[in-house]
Amino acid sequence: MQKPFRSTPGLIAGTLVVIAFGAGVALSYLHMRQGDAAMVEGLLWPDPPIVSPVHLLDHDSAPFTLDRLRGKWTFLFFGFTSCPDICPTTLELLARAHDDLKTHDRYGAAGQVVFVSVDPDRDSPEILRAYVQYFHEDFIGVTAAVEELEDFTRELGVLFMKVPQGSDDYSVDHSAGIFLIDPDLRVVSVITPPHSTNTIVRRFDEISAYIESSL
Amino acid sequence: MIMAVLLAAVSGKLTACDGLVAEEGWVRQPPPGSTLAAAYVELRNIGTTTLHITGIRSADFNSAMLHETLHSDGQARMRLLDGIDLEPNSSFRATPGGRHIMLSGPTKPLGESVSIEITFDCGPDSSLTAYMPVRRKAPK
Repeated sequence: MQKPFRSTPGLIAGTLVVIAFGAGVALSYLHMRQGDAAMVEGLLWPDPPIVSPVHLLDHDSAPFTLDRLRGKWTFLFFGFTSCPDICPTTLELLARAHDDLKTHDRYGAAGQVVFVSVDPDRDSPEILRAYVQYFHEDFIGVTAAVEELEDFTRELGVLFMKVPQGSDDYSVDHSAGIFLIDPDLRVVSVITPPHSTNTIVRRFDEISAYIESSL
Repeated sequence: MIMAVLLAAVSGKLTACDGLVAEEGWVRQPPPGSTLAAAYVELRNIGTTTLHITGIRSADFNSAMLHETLHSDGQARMRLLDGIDLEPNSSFRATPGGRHIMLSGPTKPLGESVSIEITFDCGPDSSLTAYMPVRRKAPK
């Protein structure tokens, strides 16, 4: 009866060794994963921002909420239809990337491009629909009242501001980054300009592969 | 001179303003609902004196302005440029996502391949007029 008692210290020591070994393996794995993440260009990891609940309207005046983002990959781009340079330039590149990625296993048919207008005073749903679908019939245009837009963009670190251009016109300064949102609503990358289709496709491929391997 | 201009227009290259050359110009077709277009071009000074481009205008738009899309802190900002100084053997490139000629208020339909007239003023009596096609997509 004394024997088990005498063996307890050994048992505890053995257990501690196993725990320490396990913790070491876990830490090594975590360190390795974090190291891997650092190797993925543009990946916001391990604490990517999460998209907060949104109350936007799409180009058919239908509610655009988190349900429209959940379960699929999304490229999000901010702009306005009276933007002559960076917006059409980026949307044209996104259209090419979207077509390239449609056959990609992880992007697939569900992957989407969403254009968020930060100029709701001029960009009605009707105008947005004609605008985004000029670039690609799959594209979705969304907007909202300024207060709701600010709630949404603040969470993403996006700023927008009207800038007068002459007496009765204005432009809007806005983020030129392309936000990549994963199916779990995590903002896993912000692709900064200058943009190219190859960069967008490659960034998606590398980041989505990493995210999938992390599951 | 007229023959020279016509030949240059056909070849897509025009020379005037004592050495100013406009090449590879094109105008992005405004999407539906937009009356703003951007023109892109490369300007080169092949002359021997510095050129000062002080104004840009278009017979096919109500206004034309030289703009630049600036990127800082993740923000895109469009700003007006006063003019262009081109030293001999130097060039100025207007490209998507950067410097561009902002055209507003078209005075004719902007179908694909329609030719747009854009004039660069190098001084009170000197200008270069270039003709640039409307394109739906950027040339690859």
